[in-house]
Amino acid sequence: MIRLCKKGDAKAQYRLYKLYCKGMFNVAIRLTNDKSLAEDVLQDAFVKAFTEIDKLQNEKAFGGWLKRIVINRSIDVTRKEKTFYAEVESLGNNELEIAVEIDSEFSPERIHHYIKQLPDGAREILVLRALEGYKHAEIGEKLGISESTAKTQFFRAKQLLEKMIQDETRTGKIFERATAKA
Amino acid sequence: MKQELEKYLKEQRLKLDVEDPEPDIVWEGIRNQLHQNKKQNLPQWFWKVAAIFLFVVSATYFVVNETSDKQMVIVQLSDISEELGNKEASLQKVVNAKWEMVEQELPEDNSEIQFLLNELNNLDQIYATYQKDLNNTIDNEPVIHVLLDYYEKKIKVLNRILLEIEKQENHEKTITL
Repeated sequence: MIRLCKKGDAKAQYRLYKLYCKGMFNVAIRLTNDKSLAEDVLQDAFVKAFTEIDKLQNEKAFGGWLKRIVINRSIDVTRKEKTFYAEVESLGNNELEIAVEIDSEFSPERIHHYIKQLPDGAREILVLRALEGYKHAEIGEKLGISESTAKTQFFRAKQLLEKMIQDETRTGKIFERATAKA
Repeated sequence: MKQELEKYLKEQRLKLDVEDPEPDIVWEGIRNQLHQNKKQNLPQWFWKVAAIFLFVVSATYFVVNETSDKQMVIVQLSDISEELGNKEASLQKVVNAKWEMVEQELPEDNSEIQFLLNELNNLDQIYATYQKDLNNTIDNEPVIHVLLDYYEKKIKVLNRILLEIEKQENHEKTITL
């Protein structure tokens, strides 16, 4: 399929798009927290991928390569939207190691919803670290913040997520951030 | 059962993809943009071929134009028909013979016939202009007529010059006697 895409075959491009569009869209929406922005990211990323597919040496690496494009594009658009990364007071290593736990029965849909309720900077860091496997140093470099800020923000994001889940479990009410866009 | 959040997120990673985009709308955008990019980013060889094509066309036009300009100078009545060519040749022969006679008889002081010599020059200029017209229009009857008329007029002027020279000579003889 990749080989056909390299030849510009529109049907192969469409099949590849159908295969990856949902996963990539969810990456984008968790990073941008905006459905329309995430769809723009999706479009730009696939256009870039199909245009530069000749550069891809290992055909099996297409998914990872595409995801990197989606992540980079999402960061670019959220920067345009002036996402604010608070240079919060760094926490000590001991504090960062405090375990943040959730009920394993909690549904993934609700987790996805609460990730989107996180403040912009914290949400991006949580997604990049916990879901996409980036190291703190890489996150710092990508977002233009220090590694220790990335670590602290990540810890706070986890704490916020835990609190929202606990609140829902306790009260039965679903938390909805006023500024949440989608 | 409680589970460490990070571990839970890693394990449930794929199940977190719960939202759907508008796949057809997004695909339409992708298709349009790819189509636009294709149009904008024409391959380099295309521009090279276009440049060579343009050069060949310009060079051909230049060469053809130059050649046709040169052809214009050499087109004569004989190029149109043999009959016209013969007519022109016989008139040309008469003109040449008359001119040879004029050259032999031409007095040192030719101020009396200077206006006739000027008329010959004018006729030659007119002939050159009509010859160009003949090349542009090829088989143009009025132009052909004017060109033949040129020879006849030239013969008349040459006859008049010869007559004037003769008159002048007779006048000189009378004075001497």
